[in-house]
Amino acid sequence: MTRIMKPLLTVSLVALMLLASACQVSTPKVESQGQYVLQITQIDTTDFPLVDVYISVQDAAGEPQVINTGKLQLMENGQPVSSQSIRGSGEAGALTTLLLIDNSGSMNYADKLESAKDVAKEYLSQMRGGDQAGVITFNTKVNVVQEITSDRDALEDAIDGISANSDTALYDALVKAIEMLNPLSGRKAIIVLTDGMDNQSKATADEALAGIGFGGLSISTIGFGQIPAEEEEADQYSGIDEAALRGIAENAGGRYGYAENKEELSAIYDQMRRALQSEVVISYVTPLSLRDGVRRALTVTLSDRYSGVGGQSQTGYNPGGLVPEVAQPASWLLFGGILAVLVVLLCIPLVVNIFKSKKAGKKKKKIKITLKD
Amino acid sequence: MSRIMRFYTYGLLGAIGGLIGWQISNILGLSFTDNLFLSEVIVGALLGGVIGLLIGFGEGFAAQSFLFGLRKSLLSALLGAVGGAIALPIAEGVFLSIGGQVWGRPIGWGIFGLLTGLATGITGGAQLWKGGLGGLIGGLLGGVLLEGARLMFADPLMGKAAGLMLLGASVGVFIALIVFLLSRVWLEVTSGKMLGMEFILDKFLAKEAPAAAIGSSPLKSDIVVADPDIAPQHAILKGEGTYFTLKDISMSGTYLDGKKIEVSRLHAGARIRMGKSEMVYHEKR
Repeated sequence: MTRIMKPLLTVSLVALMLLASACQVSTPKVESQGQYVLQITQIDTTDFPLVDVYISVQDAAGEPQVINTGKLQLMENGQPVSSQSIRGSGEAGALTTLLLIDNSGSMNYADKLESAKDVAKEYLSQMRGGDQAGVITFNTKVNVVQEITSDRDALEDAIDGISANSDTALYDALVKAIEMLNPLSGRKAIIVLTDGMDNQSKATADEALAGIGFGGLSISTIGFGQIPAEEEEADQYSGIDEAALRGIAENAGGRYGYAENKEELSAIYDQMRRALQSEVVISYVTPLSLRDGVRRALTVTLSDRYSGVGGQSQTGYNPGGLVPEVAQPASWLLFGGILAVLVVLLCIPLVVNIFKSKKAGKKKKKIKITLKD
Repeated sequence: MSRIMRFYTYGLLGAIGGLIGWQISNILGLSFTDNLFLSEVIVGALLGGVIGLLIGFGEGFAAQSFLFGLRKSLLSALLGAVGGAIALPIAEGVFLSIGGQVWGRPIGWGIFGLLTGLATGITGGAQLWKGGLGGLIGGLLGGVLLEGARLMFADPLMGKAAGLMLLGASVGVFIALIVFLLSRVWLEVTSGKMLGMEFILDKFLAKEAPAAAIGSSPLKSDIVVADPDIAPQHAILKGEGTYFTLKDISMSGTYLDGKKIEVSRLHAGARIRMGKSEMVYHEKR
């Protein structure tokens, strides 16, 4: 039996390893071209087949732009969608922001933590009616300093109380933030500020991103402080891992920004806030309304012949459906037919057996007689 | 029922389970509740339950006893339903979190098969993980087939049918196959209409394991031999860690290698006779 089992186990192990290597994480990736930078920041499929697509329009310098929404066209799998509604700049509904602030020990240098706290308060002071926010700090531990609320005073008090020590567990903080935002509806954004690279998390960046629910959300990242010099190996405990931060933002509908000092930091937060508050939402009911587990590509284009500006962005979503939904059940004739075939196959050996045992019975009796003799 | 026949029966029963599950899932869809994962709990329970129900009945088929089959199948349907209800939402979550790409489906289905197979395997004569391995392999194959059919035929309906039937069939076949490949002690019926039938005894072998009753009653016995000359409970098989003892509790007697016994230790190749039926005890070390 070991002779049979060993190859069997080896084959299944090899198959599993092949599968594991084949399934690399792929979250929606944003590619843009044109004079304006279009970015699909969040796709909300909570009420599938109703899909809400949030689009941010910026110029090349990252300044949010107000555009004629009539010139926006959204395509799903190459087919233009007939939108139920397009809500332009400032009409996109309430925004929920989670501010993730690094409070590892290194944030104590050069008053980085104080700057971060001031700038965060500036951001919160610009909240509109209906907007909500929450604050999470992360060092070795992830700490929800303030649950999501619309109470600005509570938020500011919470930020005032933040102090810094120990290491950085950025990805764990992302996992927590995504968990908190998933049950909420509307536009949801995470803005992460860090001065170092992750060296304490149990989770990886991919695992964190995999937790984003059907409502979607965007993650923007800000690196604050010194970037390690080119030739220097990035130290495990200091320096910003720009590649990692940029990767997270690109894969999660957000943006990456770098600030060396408080003024730059303030400008980045401000730009991110204005971008979030000026987004356009296109709502449509997808004609592909079955949960078939197949990813749909979304492309948004902006073309304006008169002003000559244009841009394009591509991403996608999957409505789920491991066991796919189908348009209509199979005809009962087909079902009965297949069932009948299987039942017949099941019964064949029984019939054959009965037939055989009748023959064998006669033979056996003869054998028995000879045995007794 | 010989080994090959057992694989055949289990496979077909599993396929029928998958087919019924297919039509149920076709009718229900996934949008009958607002929450996808809640819908999947229900669909998963139905799929796992119906596959478990049919595969559980395989035991009854083998023993040629409807009641015994019913008892086994109700139990494995229940376990399959619990396994499926837990497995499908988890599998969906994994499928989506790895991007919902082509390779995601076999992996998601593999997880679904693993857990339903585990649950269904509990009722068999072997250890739990063997059924789980069967389910995993079946799920992986079913997922590959489903994705293949979708890419080739652009008809999710038939791809899904093929996928679910294959999932059920391979859960069935692999539960039977793995159980046999890895079983160490079993009883083989060598006479009568149950000629070739094998009862796996692995889970009874441990000293702390419950004793197994051999008899003709599908309800009172763990090892059911259909023979009017065998008492409903005829003998008790008790595991002693490394060997079994057989204890006669019948009026008509139990014979070991031609000698009537009260209590006796079984050795490999021992021939046991009860009523008009004969069995051989096998060991593989």
